[in-house]
Amino acid sequence: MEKPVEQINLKGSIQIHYEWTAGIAGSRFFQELRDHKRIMGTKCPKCNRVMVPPRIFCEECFIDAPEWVEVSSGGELVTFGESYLGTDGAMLEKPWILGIVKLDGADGGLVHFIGEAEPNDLKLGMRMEAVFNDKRNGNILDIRYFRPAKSD
Amino acid sequence: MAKRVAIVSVGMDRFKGRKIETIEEMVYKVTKDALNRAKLPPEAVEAVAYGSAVDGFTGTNAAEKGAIGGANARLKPTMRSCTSGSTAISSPILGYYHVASGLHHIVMSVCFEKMSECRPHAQHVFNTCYDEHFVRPIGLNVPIQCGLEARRFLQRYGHTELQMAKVSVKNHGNALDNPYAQRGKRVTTDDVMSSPYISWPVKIMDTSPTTDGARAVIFASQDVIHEITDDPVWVKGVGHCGDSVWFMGRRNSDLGRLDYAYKAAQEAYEMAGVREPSKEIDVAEVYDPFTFKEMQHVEALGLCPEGGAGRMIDEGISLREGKLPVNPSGGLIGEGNPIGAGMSRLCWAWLQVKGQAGGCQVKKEVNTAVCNGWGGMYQYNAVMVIGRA
Amino acid sequence: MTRRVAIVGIGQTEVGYNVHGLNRKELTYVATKRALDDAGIGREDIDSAITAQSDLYEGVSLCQQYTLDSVGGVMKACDQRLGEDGIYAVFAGYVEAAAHPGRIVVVASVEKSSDREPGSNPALVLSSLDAVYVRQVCSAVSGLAGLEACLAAMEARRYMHFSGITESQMARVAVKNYTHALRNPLAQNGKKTSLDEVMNSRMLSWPLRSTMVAEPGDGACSLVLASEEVVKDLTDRPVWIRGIGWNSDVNYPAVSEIGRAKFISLAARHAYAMAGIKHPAGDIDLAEVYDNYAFNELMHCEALGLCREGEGGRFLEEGKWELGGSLPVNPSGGLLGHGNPLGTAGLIRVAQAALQLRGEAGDYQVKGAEVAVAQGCQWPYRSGGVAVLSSW
Repeated sequence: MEKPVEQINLKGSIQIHYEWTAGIAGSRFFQELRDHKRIMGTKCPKCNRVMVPPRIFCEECFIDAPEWVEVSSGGELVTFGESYLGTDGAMLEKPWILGIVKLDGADGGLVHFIGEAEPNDLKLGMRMEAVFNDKRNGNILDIRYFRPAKSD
Repeated sequence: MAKRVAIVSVGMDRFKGRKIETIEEMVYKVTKDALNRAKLPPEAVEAVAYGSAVDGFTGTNAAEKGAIGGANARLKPTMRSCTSGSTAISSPILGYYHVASGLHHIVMSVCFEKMSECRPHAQHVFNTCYDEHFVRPIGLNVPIQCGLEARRFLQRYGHTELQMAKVSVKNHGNALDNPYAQRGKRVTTDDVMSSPYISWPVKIMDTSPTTDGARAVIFASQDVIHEITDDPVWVKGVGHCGDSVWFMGRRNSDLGRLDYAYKAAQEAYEMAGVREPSKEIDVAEVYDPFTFKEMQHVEALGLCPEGGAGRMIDEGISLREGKLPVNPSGGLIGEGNPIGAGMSRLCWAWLQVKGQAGGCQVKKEVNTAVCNGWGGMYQYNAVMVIGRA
Repeated sequence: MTRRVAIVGIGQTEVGYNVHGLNRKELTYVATKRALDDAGIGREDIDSAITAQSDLYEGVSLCQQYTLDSVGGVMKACDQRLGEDGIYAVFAGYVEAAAHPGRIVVVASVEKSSDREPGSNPALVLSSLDAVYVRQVCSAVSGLAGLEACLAAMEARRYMHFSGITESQMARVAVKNYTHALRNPLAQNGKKTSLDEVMNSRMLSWPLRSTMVAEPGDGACSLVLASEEVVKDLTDRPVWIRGIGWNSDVNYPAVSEIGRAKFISLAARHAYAMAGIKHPAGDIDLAEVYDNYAFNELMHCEALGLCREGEGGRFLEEGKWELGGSLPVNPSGGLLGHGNPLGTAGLIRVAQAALQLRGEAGDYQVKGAEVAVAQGCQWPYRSGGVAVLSSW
């Protein structure tokens, strides 16, 4: 069974193209980002959690959550991580950084780029603020990144 | 009444970065090995529960459908489980249920993964598992996914990179005695600490490799066990739990504590009648795609107090010659990580209980063992407790 | 003797194109909420959640992660089927419930065909074929668009060779199912049509015409299963799962037999043995079967033992399989009429059969239905399963 064999390989790829529905909740969320530069969540009428990313239902109470509430575009840095690995598996000199920011006014937040900071500048729990793109298209990249909040 | 279910055999084969075998050929080899070990003819197996995590690695939908013949499952009932990385244990749990329900007497679970086919690299496919609207455009990848979590874990409990490095040394070294391992080697903590970061605190030597491989496990009902063996190893407890996919907004937002793993373990221990795992479990094969994950899991599985994982490795408790050996086979880090075929943890747990773990056998007496699997968006844990009587 | 398991809650969305703009997770929630409400339970009562989906259909790897919340599964036991029809969630739910006293398991499946660009189905079919021996040949076919019909037609031709079924008999399946679907409020494709219209519709690949192919759609379906200890506390209209069976043949076209669904025969044999059914054609009151192509309804009914090989054609001509006939097949309209959310359609067959046994099928109710068979499969694989349900 273990005779040496010439290994024959075949190259190929599957092309399947998608246009994913953001859904009821996502559609409103991204519209608000694009048109009003604001972050909205949905509120559960039972446990009062404000969910970001928004859902039309609360997965804990398992009931509809129809009420929309604006939340802050700033909040607390829950955690962050930098990557020295590029998308094609090659090592990078300068890492890019992603973080989870829990938004004020929400029981939740977003995972997004961290900009205007090096890993050593960042501390868990520090205040962060969103930087929006001037040109927005109705997707998560309408937020350019989160940066350490400038104190006023 | 639920039937008592025993594991009567395991099927093993070499893990490798790129195997020449197709999925079906890998499945065939471990099926044959399991049948031989159990001295069962192929027709004795009534049904097969497959497990595999990511169809995207091979670009084949329902990849197990190409491996029906290889498991001798032609015109037999087959089903496939997938819970990301915890497929490693959710697939045998599915096999267990086939028998515990009374529907079948002898059932095989076979898990496989072929990660070496996608170009340029399996990482590319991992990127397709993130939510298309909120996460994928950001380009979250596996290294950062670890960084986000490990940072919280270390901060919460005060564990250190050095302790993580000791786990790496242990598991790489243990794998030297594992004939099926991809990456057994002698390394020092200096080697680990000086290896490049993929995302703080995780360094290259804290990770498990991408791998091609398969494993098999054969279950038998109490009704037929006496025909097969007089030393059955019973499935004593199973537990499984999944948390919300919205990891940025869970009740417990601290990714450092695996609530869902604690719950899965609790369920399995309750079923097994284990009250003090750190005393009653003789050996553990836990899911260690990264060193800090082994540490999270030994805590969640109650093998040490919560927050005690650092001490456990510092004091040598989890070494093969220690009081409670963890991953004496080398774990995923040393043996290889073909996602679904992480069922190898269960296979090694069984080999330890049977005293058939060869060079990896722990010296102490082994009657009860635990193993687990982890996966998803910081989501799943599946736990199985096995043992005699 | 295994512990008995019943369906105690049924929830479905309609099948359609881009149903209400809901995404996959939301669609699944809607169906599951309906099922929980129907069972009179809350999320806190669920022990375990099992879903069935396909990564490549959805364009997300490990797609099952994303519906866990939607089926009330957060911090519950859970398992997922990948690349299998939703009917397999029933089987997996059954073995789990049968192993635990008083277990409540939610099983669900969802599919959003509208998330994929129109015309992407051939690429999906391609992804199901063996990469080394089959796919290269098939992808060399100019214009993938014809691939799916071509593959199906290959089997239809062989089936006709074995059974003697004619084109017009296959067309009768389509007429029947589109007509049935007119009475089904959840159905996507109900329409008034005639044998002539079907026989003159566009030929895709002989003998397959466009009206004989079930149109993909969006839809979600959810069932609540419970093991016997708690069933009577939950409902006075349980639908008992009396027998289940599932089976797979190999995937090589020249190796496995096509033109006969042996894997369904074997699955049915197991299910009937569990259910104590010796004469399916006589004992069963209605069947919901997998008619993704019109000829498949005939082939699957034969495999289910509802008629002998070739006999189904005559039964159709005699109206035996219509609503009002002696053994209605696909009173819901089946995949042709109700719609085909890929990978969910088999679970919907179980849900529809269960509705019938509860007497809740409204305008398409089969009178006095007590025993039903539901069948699903995962085309183009030779895998599928059967559930026998009864109201007692």
